[in-house]
Amino acid sequence: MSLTQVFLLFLRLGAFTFGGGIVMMGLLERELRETDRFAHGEIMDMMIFATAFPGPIAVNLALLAGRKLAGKAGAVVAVVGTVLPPFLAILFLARILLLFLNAPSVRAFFLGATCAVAVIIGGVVYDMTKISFAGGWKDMAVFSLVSAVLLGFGLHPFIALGAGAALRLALGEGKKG
Amino acid sequence: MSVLSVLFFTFIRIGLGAFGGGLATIPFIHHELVVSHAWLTEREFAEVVSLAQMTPGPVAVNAATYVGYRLAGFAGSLTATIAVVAAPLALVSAAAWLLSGASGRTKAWAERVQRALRPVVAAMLFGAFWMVVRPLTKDWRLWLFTLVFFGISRFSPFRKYPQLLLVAAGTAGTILL
Repeated sequence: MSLTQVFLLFLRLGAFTFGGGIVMMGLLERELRETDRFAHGEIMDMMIFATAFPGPIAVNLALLAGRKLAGKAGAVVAVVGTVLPPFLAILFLARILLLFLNAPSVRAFFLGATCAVAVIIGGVVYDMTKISFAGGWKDMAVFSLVSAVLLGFGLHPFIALGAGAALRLALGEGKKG
Repeated sequence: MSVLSVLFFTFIRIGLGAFGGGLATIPFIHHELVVSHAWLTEREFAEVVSLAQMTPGPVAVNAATYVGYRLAGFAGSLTATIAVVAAPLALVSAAAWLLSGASGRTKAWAERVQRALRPVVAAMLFGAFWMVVRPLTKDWRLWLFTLVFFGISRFSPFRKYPQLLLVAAGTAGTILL
């Protein structure tokens, strides 16, 4: 992929990450699979990597995917492409949008769009859960426990991540994952 | 210290603390911007969150551009936006670089950790998914909407370009909700 193609790909993705980085995962997964340059597991591993580090997931993911597609320059171009649309949107649209924040038609638009966001994120979560359950009941147990603790007790994600990973390591290898 | 350097270091910290993606990062951003710095009032912060949902891109990046602009104009928005992504990007590229050079035992260990992270990251994404879905569950029309768009999402061109799904759902929302 040429640098221009990488830039335009991430510009397109960056312009539509309504609802944050996980939406971008859904969009990116579809588009990367179209390029036939990634194995399915490879895309998942990038997503895990991007989520397990601090910072906006979309930006971390852009760096990793851009690097795979076109080396170091690809990583730079992908990050700039991802950040540019939100940057410009806030810079130029914030004042106008603030005026219409409570307009009924605007609220209805974003309520409708949120339903599509739920569909896209749901797809990502489904794929990710399916892949992560490859190790059997131990993976399912860790998934359930971490979900419950995150949602029920509002534990800081960083602590949940560390503790969850430590627990999964302590349980030892399941079936080949 | 000048405004720009205060902005820079604050958003470096926000970038490092924005963990878990999307809405999960909001409490931390709130603490930094409203409680420790008093750069925004509660009301203004709520506006920024709505703005972030109406514009593309991660919440942390949107907040950086907005607050940077408010405090120091264009230079401020640029400084804060770069700062919020700088530290995570440095960490991710350092880790990716270390891993690509690793071999033997280090590599096997890294792969074990990555496998252990799978169910944990899946749980974090599930948590983020739930935060998007929860407000939708209050209204049966939104259930129906989500179901319909789930059905539509299986077909091309929506399968190939999920962005279209977002726009279609928003437009349908404006008309029907």
